[in-house]
Amino acid sequence: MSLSDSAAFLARKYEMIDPDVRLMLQVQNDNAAAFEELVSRYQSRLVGVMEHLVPKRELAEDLAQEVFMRVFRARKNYVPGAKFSTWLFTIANNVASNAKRSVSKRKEVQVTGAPGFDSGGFSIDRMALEASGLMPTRKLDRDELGLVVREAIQQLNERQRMAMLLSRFEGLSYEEIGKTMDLSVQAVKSLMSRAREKLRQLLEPYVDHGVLGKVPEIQVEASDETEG
Amino acid sequence: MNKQPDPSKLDETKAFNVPMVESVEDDSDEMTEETFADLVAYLDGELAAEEVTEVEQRLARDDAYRDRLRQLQHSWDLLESLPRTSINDDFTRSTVELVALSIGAQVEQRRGQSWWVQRMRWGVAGIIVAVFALGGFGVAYERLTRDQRQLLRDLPVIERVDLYREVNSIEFLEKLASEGLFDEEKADAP
Repeated sequence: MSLSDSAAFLARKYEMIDPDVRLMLQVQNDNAAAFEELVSRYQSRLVGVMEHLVPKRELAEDLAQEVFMRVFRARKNYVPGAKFSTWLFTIANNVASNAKRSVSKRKEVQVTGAPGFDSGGFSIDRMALEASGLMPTRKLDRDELGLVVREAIQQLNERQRMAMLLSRFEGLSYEEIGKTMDLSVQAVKSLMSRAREKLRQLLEPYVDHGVLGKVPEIQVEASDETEG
Repeated sequence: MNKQPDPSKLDETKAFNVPMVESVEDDSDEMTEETFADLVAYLDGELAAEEVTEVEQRLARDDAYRDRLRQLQHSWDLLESLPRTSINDDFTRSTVELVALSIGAQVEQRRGQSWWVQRMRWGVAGIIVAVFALGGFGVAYERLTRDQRQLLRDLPVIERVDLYREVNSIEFLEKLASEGLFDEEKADAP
C-alpha cells in the first residue's frame, strides 16, 4: 500500500467513525452551518483547556477563537488523519505555546493567573499557613476545593499540564496525546506518570477529608530530557 | 488497551482478578519509575493484557503499591471538583463573526492587491499584443512585396529579353558578362 493509499484509507476510516470529521469535511466545502456546529460543540472544552494553560480567562477565550480561525483557514487542506479532536487540540497546543512565548517575552506572565487566584488568596503559601496551625483547620466547600485543584494543576509544568488535561478532560489516549504534542507514546507515559504523581502529592491532604493542609515538598520533579 | 478499573472497587483485591490468598503476605517490591509509570498507565487503561496481569499480581501482594494506586485514583477524582467552564451564549456567534470578518478582510486585501495585479496583467497583455501585431505586419509586408521586389531586380533583364533571345546561347552571354559588358546595366539596377 502506497503512502497516498494509506492516507486515503485513514481519511475514510476517520470519516466513518468520527462525526466531527464529517462536519469538518462539510466546512471544507464552505458550509458555514457546519463550522458553527463545530464551534458550538468544542468551545467549552477548548476554553476549559486553554484557561489552564494561560494566565487569564479573556486570553483563553481569545486563543480559543484563534484556534477556530485557524481551523477555518486550514479547511481547504484538511485531510482526516486522526480524530477531529486530536487535530483540534494539536492546533490548540501550538496556539497556546505561541501565546505563552509571546507573553513571556513581554514579561507579563503571572504565575497563578487562573480566576480566583489573584484576589482569592488560594496560594500554596496560604495553604501552608493554614496547615501550620496558625489558622483553624476547616473543611473545604466544593468551590474552594476547585480552586485548590486548579492551583495544583498550575504547579505542573506546561507539558505535564497539557497531557493531563487532554487525558482527564478530553479522554485522549496516550497515542492521541502523543500526536497532539508531537511526542512518543513512551514519552507521554512518562509525562503522565510524573503529572499524576505530582498531583497526588499536592492533593494528598485533601483526598480523605477535604481539609486544608500543608502542601508537601514535591519529590518528583519533571525533567524535559526524560519526558521528551 | 483495557478499561480503567472502577475506583469504588479499588479496596477490593478481587477487583484485580487476583486470588485472595496471594494478598495475605505483604511483599513490597521496589517502586521504580517504570513500575510507577505502569501503575499510572494501568489506571489510564493504557497497558497491554500481559502488563495488566503483571500490575494486578503486584497489586495483590504489595500493600504500598495498592495504596499508591488508591491515592492516585482519589487525587484524579478530585479533578472533578474543578468548576465547569461556562461559555457566554454569544461566544459561538462572535467566533463565527470573527472568522467572517477575517475572511472579509482577506478578500478586501486580495481585492486591493488584485487592482494592481490586474493592471499589470493588462499592461503585459497589451505589450504582447503590440509585439505580435508588429511582427505580423512585418511578415505580411515582406510576403506581399517580395514579388514586386523580384520584378524590380529583374527589370534590366526583362527590358532586354528580346535581345537575349536573339543570342540563343547562355555560354556566350556569360562570356560577355565576364568581360564587363553588363556592368553599366547592373549599376542601373535597383
